[in-house]
Amino acid sequence: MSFLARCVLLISIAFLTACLPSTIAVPSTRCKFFIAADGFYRVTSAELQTAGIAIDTIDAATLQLYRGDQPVAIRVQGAGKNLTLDFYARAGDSLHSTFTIYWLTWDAQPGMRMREIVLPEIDAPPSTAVESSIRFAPARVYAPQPGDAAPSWFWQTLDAPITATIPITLPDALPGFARLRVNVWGNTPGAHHLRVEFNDARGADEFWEGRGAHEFEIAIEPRAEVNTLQLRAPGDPRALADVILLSSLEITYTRRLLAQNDQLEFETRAGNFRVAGFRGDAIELYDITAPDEPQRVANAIITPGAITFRTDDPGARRWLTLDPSIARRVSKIAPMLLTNLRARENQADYLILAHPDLATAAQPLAQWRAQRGLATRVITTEEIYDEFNFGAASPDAIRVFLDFVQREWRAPAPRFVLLLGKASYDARDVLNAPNKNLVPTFLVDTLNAEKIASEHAFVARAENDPRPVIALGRIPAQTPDQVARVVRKIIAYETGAPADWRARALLVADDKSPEFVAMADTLAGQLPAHIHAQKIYLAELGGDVKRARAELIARWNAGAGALVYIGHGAVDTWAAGPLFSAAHLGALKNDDRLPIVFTPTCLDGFFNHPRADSLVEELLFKADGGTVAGIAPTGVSFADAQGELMRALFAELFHAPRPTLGEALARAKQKLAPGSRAQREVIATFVLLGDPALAPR
Amino acid sequence: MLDLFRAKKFARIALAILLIGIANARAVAAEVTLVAFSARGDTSAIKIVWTTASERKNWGFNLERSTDQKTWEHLGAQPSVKSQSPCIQNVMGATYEFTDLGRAPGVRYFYRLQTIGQPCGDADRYHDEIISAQVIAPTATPTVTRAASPTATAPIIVSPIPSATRSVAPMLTPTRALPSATATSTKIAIAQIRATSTRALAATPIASSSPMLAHRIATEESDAPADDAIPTQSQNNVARDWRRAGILGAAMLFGAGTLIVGALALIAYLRLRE
Repeated sequence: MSFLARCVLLISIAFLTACLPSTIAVPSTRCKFFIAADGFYRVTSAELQTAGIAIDTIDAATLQLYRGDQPVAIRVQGAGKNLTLDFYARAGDSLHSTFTIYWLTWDAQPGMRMREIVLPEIDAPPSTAVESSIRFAPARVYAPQPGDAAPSWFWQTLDAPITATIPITLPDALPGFARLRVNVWGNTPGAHHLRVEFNDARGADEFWEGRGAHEFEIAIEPRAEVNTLQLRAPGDPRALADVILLSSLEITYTRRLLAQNDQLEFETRAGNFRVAGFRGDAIELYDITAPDEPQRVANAIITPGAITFRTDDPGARRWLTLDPSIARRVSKIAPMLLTNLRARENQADYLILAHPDLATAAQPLAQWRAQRGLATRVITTEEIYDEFNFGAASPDAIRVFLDFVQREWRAPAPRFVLLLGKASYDARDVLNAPNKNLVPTFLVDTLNAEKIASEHAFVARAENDPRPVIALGRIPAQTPDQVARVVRKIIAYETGAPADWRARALLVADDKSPEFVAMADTLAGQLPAHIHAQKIYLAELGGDVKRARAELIARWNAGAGALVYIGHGAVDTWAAGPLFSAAHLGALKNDDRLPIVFTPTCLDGFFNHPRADSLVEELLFKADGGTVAGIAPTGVSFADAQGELMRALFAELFHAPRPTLGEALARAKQKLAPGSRAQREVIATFVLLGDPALAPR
Repeated sequence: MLDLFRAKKFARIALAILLIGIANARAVAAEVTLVAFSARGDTSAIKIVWTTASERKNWGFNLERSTDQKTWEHLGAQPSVKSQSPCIQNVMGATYEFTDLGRAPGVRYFYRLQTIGQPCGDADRYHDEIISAQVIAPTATPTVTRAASPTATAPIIVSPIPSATRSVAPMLTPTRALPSATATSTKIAIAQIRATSTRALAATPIASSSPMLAHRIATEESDAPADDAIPTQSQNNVARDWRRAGILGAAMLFGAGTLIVGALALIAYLRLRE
């Protein structure tokens, strides 16, 4: 076989490998329901058919619903095209998605069904009121707190002196006393004072100390419909400041048993009860005390617009009564993908884990890497969730998958993992901000900031050793167009002719600490002889940021292979002034003279902000220049620990044989000391925004 | 023997304290907090604008004024400007402005800024930058009529921060005894403070939410050229850096020496007691 023929064959094999689908083209026997709120749901055969599920061919007796790995009882009525499926769902509080996933499977053993129960007969005039609890906890304010279990979202900030007036509707409240439980979070370290007034009646003066959760309960006298709660934070004179975050309110009150929009959820103890207020007579009653196993009451007495029943259970039982025609509809139904991700004969050198909307745009990069000799796979996050996490979005699912790949797939294990998609700390889309959580990341607490994006857990050596075992990068794109732009840059960078600009390293240092200049000088000293260091030190320019910026932009436009900024920084800013920020991107016209940017600073790679893009992201996605990749911190860390990483990274990058960018970063992190908190934080929060297989030139 | 063991233990503890001290002294969190700080003079007022790049444990700011850079006074009868997100982590920062009215023409006024961290459990911190500006002498035919005479002596009037989540949003707390709230000046005529997020500022002109403020800003932009801030300290950054390094080194040496001498004295004392 000629050399040319061998090349064609190899390229063809590589191309086919890259295009090999992860999913198998056989009918799926699973689908998932996207649930946005608690309630009673009904799914019809028409909805299932619309989602591509051939309900006609399914044995309805084998239908089984799950929430995670927990079976959920359903009620199936009819068959074929007239089939309906009822269940009770809880939305939960997923940290990673707006939706909770319930998934349906079939063609196995008979599924779990709702039981029908018979209650004792009525033996006394029924009660028409019960004690009921209602909870208000809208998440509106992002104020991350330290601690794994600590909340990040709150209802409202109460920054004393302030009075917050909150209208509260208590449906069908009866006159009399009720209990109000107030859940707050002390956000300042000193004393706190909160005065609660309900319908103009002074309820309580609550005093407490310190940061953290605090709750208290007061007696209130609610009115039938709209009530007014006033939370007055006067400011405790002992405290320098008093900042309180309101978490939730819970009111336990006596209410009439009247259906609201033909349904009512309520709690009882033993007795006879009557719920009125329905518009029709098609009324059903369910015992939802165990919400995954609701029980349908077979013998409740239905009268026009009302239902009456008796329970002898002295303990608390929760009930749902409704007209089933008003049952909720699931937000979305999607078949669960049948993948071969668990097949042990799988092998890949280079994995692209992409949001489904970006998977097609990833193919050119996969093909490019395949042509360079890497066995490549593009896998969607949806496939991973379906195969490893019962369909639910979570960074843990990606971590579990990558762990499985390393242990179970055929050797050699993957060298590179590229995450393709933006992340956002607003995973539940509370703010409805432009940046969505397409490919989630982990959030960690650091010494200087809370809930900072961290990718290390995806590829960490062990739970207590954050050093990576695979080269990891992320292209935090939101659109296929952004992916295409970065892929074009990567290919242009790797195929571009040798040029003088590639042998230039631009080192920029802030003047606020001698450490910054010292680090820049050290890194310059690590460069091999053929790479020329160009220094722009603010201190040497007398702190003249305008001059420094002009010089930086001029040299950037002329071209440099590496660009290092050392100093104080923020999400889209280098140094006070600012020396350079997202506002100056328009001045960059470096076209395909694309440097790799290194920013030992703070927050410069904060890629999970719902409203803003970090400077390193903006440079990566800039069409007519910018950078080809960046290594930057997502959080706030110490300069000396950052210096350790940079020295190790330069030692890897600039000495033969030159590794890929991702491998150089992984090896540099492996050299740091996980026992040092500062260095552990640097390992956890420095990320590669770009392709980990990029070959620096 | 026991005492010798104790002495060794003491020496180890002293060494640990020394090492921790050195480690902390070296720790520089590379976060920029104040990204811009400028002052611009008008015919009767000086507008001070500052932008934070990020805020974490920040309750607010004290803005101070001086004519000689030696004696500083808080601006106004109010102690401070509240942060837009008091004591709440905000990685994107915000922009604030303050109009110092009633300044005398021809006098150069210096301003400095202090971040108030103590209420949030952090330290208060002066920013390095000192800026200055002066009021321009009024022309014979003023182009605008001002709301207040430059010689008026009314107290500060503060406009609230627009906030969707507050029903009442007083910005300042005159009854609160803040760490360095020693403001006494009553010579400032009318001042406006407002805060907008950096992003909102980029999207919407700063003068859009308050007609009175809009008028004033438009006037300043039309009839007063920008008076470049004098970064009196930042021009000496190199010298300052070395001065800092020297002070740090001296402090470390002094600390180490004190601990070693202390440890030796203790060992000697224990030996003598034997």
